[in-house]
Formats: sequence, structure tokens, C-alpha cells
Amino acid sequence: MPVRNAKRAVCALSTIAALSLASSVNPAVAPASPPYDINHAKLAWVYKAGVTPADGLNVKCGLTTGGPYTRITQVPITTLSLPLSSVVGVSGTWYCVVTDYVQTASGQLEGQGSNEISFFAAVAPSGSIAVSIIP
Amino acid sequence: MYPLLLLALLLTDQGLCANNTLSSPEDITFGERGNAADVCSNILYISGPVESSSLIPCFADGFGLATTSPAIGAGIEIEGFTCPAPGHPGDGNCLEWFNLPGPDIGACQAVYLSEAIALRLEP
Repeated sequence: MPVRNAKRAVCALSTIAALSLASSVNPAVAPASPPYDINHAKLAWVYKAGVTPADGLNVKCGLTTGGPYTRITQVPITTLSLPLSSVVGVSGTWYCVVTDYVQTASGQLEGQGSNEISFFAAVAPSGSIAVSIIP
Repeated sequence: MYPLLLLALLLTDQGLCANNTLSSPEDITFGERGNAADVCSNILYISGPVESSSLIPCFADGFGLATTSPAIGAGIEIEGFTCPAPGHPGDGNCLEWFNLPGPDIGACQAVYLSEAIALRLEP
């Protein structure tokens, strides 16, 4: 029995974070959803281009619904997903959108963007713990 | 004032241009007589309001070209005025344009990015 419990403990530590994810156009009515593993869950999108060819996509997230969002990363328009592990920074309810953009001489011109999705992330501390046996 | 005039045209289009026919063509055509362009066909060239941007002419006023406008990409490059290539000008001192095969006709440059981005979570 002690060996089995130790295995469970190792498994719990190896999972960086347990997530409760909710995808919804209206985040105020976020349905209950099972927890997902941040190491496997991802943001995914379907992109339908407009008249103007975009130079890329911005993945933006924040901790407040409706923004402001922080740009997490830029990806080519051929990229259609991003691991959640590269999005989540701290524990909390995250809100994310994806926008497309063209690069102009004066800066980026962004499109209207996607719907907002939200998910709760519980991120474990990333510090190291050294265990030693004292005889 | 110019955007307000366009808006007025858009609003009046509801009644004047039903079925794309004119009740009083004499009053709402422009150009040379015999070679006149009517409001109902040319109103297809504008769209508004759109998301404003100070980066693109006309967008700063909240107007742009309709996504179906034949003016999109139908213009020509004007040396010293329009940029020599779409999107990324060499020195930034030229009118940017975005839609191949050429700049748009007129002062408004169409900038319509995504029609839709549907974002979801995957386990």
C-alpha cells in the first residue's frame, strides 16, 4: 500500500496543473466541464480569411473577461492551435481571443478577432523541492 | 463632413435604391449627362461604419470599401504616392495598400481581415 500511494503522489506532481475548462461564446454562462490536463489541452481555432491577406495571428489572453488582453504570442496564419501550457502563467480564470493582423509602417492593424473563451487554471508552483533521507 | 454625406447616402439608399431602381434618376445621378453613374450602383463601393484606424485613409473616419466592391485591388501603383509593394513599404513614406493585384481605386483602401475566427478549447 505505501508503494501505491507513493506512485499516486508522483503522478500528481508530474502534472503541472489541473484545469477546469469552459468554452463559451458567453463566458457568463460557462458550462461545467471536466478538468483537463494543461499539458495536453490546447487552444484551437478555425480561421476564415477576409479580403486582405493577414500577416499573422495574435493569441491574446488576460484575467478579465472582455479584456484587456496581453499578447501571448504571434503565429503564422497557418497555425491553428496552441498548447495551453504556453498560454497560462498564473492560477486563475483566463480569457483568451485570437485576432489576425497586417503589419503596417505605423504598427499592427488588427482584425475584429474571435469569440472569447475562458478556462480556470490552477498552476502548481514551479520551485524545486529536494528530499533527502537523514539516517 | 464627407463621411456624414456617405452615411446619409447609405441611409437614404434604403428607400431610393429598393430593387436597385431609381424613382427620380435626375436628382441622384452624378457625372456627365449620358455617361452618368447613379447613386445606387456606386453606393456599392462604400461601406460603413467600419472599425476606425488612424493608419489607413478613410478608416480613420470609420468608412471603407464594401467587401464586394470592384474597386478593391483594381487600382494601379502611382510612383511616389502608393507603395511599391503591398503591405510592407520600404521607407514608410507612401500610401500602403493591401489587396492584390493592385491598390484600390480612390482614397479608401479596403482592409478587411478575418471574416471569422472560431476559437475553442480541445482537451
